[in-house]
Amino acid sequence: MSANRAAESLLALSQHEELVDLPEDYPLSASEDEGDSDGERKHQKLLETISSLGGKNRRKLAERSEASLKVSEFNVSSEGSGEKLVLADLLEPVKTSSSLATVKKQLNRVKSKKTVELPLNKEEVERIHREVAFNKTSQVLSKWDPIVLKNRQAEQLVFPMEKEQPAFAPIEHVLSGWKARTPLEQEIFNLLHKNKQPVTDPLLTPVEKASLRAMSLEEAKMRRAELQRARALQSYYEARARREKKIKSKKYHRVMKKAKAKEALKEFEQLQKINPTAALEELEKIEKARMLERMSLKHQNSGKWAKSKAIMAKYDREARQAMQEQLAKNKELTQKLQVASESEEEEGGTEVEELLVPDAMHEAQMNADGPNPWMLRSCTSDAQEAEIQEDPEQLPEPLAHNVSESEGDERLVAEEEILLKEFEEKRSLRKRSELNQDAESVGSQETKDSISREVLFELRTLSQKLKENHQSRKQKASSVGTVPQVQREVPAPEEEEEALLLQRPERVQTLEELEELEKEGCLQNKELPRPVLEGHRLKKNPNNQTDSPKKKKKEQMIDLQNLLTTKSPSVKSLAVPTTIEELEGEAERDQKQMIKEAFAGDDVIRDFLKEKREAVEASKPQDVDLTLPGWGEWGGVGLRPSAKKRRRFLIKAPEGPPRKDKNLPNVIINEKRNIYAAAHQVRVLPYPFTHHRQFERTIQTPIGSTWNTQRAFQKLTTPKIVTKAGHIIKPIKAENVGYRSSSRSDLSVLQRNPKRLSAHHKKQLKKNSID
Amino acid sequence: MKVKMLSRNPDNYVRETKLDLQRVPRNYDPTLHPFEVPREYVRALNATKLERVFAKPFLASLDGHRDGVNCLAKHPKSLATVLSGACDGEQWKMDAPAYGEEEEPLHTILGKTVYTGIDHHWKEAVFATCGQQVDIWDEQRTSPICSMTWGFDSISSVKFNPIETFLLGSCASDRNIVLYDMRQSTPLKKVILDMRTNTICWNPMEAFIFTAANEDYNLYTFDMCALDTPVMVHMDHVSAVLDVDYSPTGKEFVSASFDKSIRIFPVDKSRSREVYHTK
Repeated sequence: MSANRAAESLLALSQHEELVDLPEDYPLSASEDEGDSDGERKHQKLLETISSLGGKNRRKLAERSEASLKVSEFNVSSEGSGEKLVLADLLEPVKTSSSLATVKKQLNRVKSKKTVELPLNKEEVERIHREVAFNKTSQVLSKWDPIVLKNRQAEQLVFPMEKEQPAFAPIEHVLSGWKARTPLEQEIFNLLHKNKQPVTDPLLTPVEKASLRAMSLEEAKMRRAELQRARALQSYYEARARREKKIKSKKYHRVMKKAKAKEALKEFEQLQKINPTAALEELEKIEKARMLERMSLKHQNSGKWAKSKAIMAKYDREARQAMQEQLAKNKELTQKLQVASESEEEEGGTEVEELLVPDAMHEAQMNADGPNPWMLRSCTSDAQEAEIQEDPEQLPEPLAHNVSESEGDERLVAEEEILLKEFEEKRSLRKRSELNQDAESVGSQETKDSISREVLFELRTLSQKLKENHQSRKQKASSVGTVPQVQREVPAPEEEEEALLLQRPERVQTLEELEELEKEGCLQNKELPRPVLEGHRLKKNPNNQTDSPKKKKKEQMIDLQNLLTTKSPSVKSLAVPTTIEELEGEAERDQKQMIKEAFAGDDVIRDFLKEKREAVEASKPQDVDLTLPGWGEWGGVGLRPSAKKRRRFLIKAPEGPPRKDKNLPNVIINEKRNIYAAAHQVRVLPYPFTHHRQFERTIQTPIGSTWNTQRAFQKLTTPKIVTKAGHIIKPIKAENVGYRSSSRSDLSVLQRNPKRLSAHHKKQLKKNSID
Repeated sequence: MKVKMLSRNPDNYVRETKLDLQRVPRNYDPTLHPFEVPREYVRALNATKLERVFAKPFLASLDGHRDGVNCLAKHPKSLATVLSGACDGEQWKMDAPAYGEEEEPLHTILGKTVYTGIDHHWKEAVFATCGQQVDIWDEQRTSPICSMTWGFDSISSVKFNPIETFLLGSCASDRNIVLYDMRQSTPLKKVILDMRTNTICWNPMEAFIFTAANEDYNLYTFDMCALDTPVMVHMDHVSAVLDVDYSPTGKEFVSASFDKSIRIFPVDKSRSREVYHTK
């Protein structure tokens, strides 16, 4: 029974654990055949062997054995082996004793500490390493993104990208490897050597070095400051001299010169007191200068200028004065230097000088209005008045004289003279008028008269000039040239004159007009004095209102003329094109005729119509005819299927959409897709464009030089990449793009931890050897 | 009177020097130059044809080897120097276009495994070999200073990145492209393609771009930071692509194929721009 049960259990076991190999399978079968007693023992044995095979079963077997037998003081029973033995259980009984408290604390501490986790799988570790390394690397690479993007979008890239900097070497290095070969070079080197110029190490010459050594820093600083100060002073002085030199006043210069002379004299005197020998030398110098002056003809009255002045001296006060000055200078320079105490002599000298001046000059001086009019007037005020009256009266006479003989070259000179005189005259007049202001109550009427007379005369001269213009038929430009002169002469009646001047350039064209103008001038001559008075001085005078309407009238007249003159060109402009049009019309007709003759034979329009009709026919959808000849009736040559049958089997094509060129008689629109053109068309919009219109527009604009200017053509056809022949294009570098290049070497990491690497490497090697 | 005169600025028609081109005044009125599109088309066509007619892509042939030339390298600092190695164990230095001379090795290293590829570092005295693993060697040492593996297949070629010089790319026979970091001495990423990659080449102007010559007749340009999909697939070859090399401008590359042709591809185009072949 038991044996059977055991066998059953064994069977179940063997079924349960297939992998377990059973060598005693055979004896097991044999045991069943033999006796029971023997079987009992054998069974026991079998159980033992089985128990020895699987650990689980053995424990169970142990469980089966009796507990009382096995309990001993040397043996710990394995009862409750399923549970873990906890330290606390062991310590339970010793709870009360305090001596073990420390041990318990330690144990608790141990218990609170977590156990170290199992190290990860090697592959896992490697994967993590790789991931981290990849992240790091991609971060490093991300710095290139903007550069790559920029280079991809660049209009033009020029390679090599980095500027090749010329190798910079200090000149000493260059020179050390260089020798003078040509004779010129040798000569230069010889020179340099002679002067002890540094050749190979050109920093400082020996002299410079010595001077450097001699001077300390503070000294050098002081010296530098001194030099700076001197330079600044010099510049101030120069500026001042320049400014003084620019002063035009003669008087100033004269005074300055005198002051200088005085100063020099003073110095000389001082020198005499202090240092007689030096003073003697100075004296000698002065003497020498005097001698030189005496020898030269510098300040004599023999120069060209002096001669011309002598001629003028009779009439011109200034010239006379200048001459006197020169003579005085001459005297001064040639005079023997005296001691300063004898100043009376000098005064005498001046007297002598005055005596030297020719008599004619004196006379002239007496005649003309003196340099001091006050003096004169105080003497003879009546006489002056007379002069004032005389002056304007005197002048017209030579003028008239001049005008009468206005022919040839002389006339020009005369004109100039007149102008000069007029100028002078006016200036003096103005002066006098100013002077007379206090005496106006007496001579106001007279001055008025004189002024009016003067203006009259001026206007007369103006008209005279115009007449001359008319006679000589000069060019307009020249007349314009003279007019400003006139204008200069007559500052008083400016308003009137301006109006005249402005109108004149346009109108002085024909003879008639000129004559008219002359008349106008005459008219004005009569009327002008009053406006002039009004404009020039007596503006407040209200009794001149009569003049203004006249002015207006004149303006109106001018307007009319302007209108007339402006009309004429417009008429002309109308007239010209009509004739041209006629001509053009004729030409066109001619051309049409010619074209007609040339293409007499071919009728282009009809051909086109025919072509269009064909195109329309071709584009119409075709009917499908499915009739089979001979099917259900006789067939053969000359026989056709019946109309009924044909009608039955004809499939009518649906009418297509209307043609686009239906309403356009002169156009054929082909709506078929042209495969030849399709080859050149793009299927997708190219990259930078966002809309097909943009792309079409850029495609349609021509880029050839026929349609574009040279500059635009070059711009449109610039190559995307430019490379230099014979230059190596190196891979892009971080430092060339502006990034800081990684300073550490690629190898630095490898060499920093060689231990780990070597271990790694050894492992690798071992592996390799195994393989 | 104002006299109207014809006056021209001499600057508009006088040359500054005799070498200057004569200034030809032109009227750019579009009505005077009709049919611009057809005319330009014809011009462009003619220009292209003439360019083809006068193109001389073949410069010279370099003779000297008695066996098949198996590898070729250009000098990084000399334009005219090319190095080549043949199957009979000879190594030649060619001074193009003249004939070359045979070179003697300075240093010999015997390794335990077969080396299938070699590449030199762009800056330092370091080179990398590949075979069963990627080894990094110092020129002065006889043993590698670092070895990196990922998987067990043999690696056919290895290439240094010319810009970020610590990066390496290799292609293995198990259809992989593996990237390595020399500084951290670890592999970074792996791409598995449909077929084996013969070699790769880095773009010398864009640090993270490389192109792989694949057996499936195509070339794949990858962005190193985004390896999921290639940036561009270049097709036109009709047989396995064996080798690829970038132009120094980084805008084009040339590829050699088993179909006995060489093709030039723009980097951003999937079709080749030029093809050269022998009979």
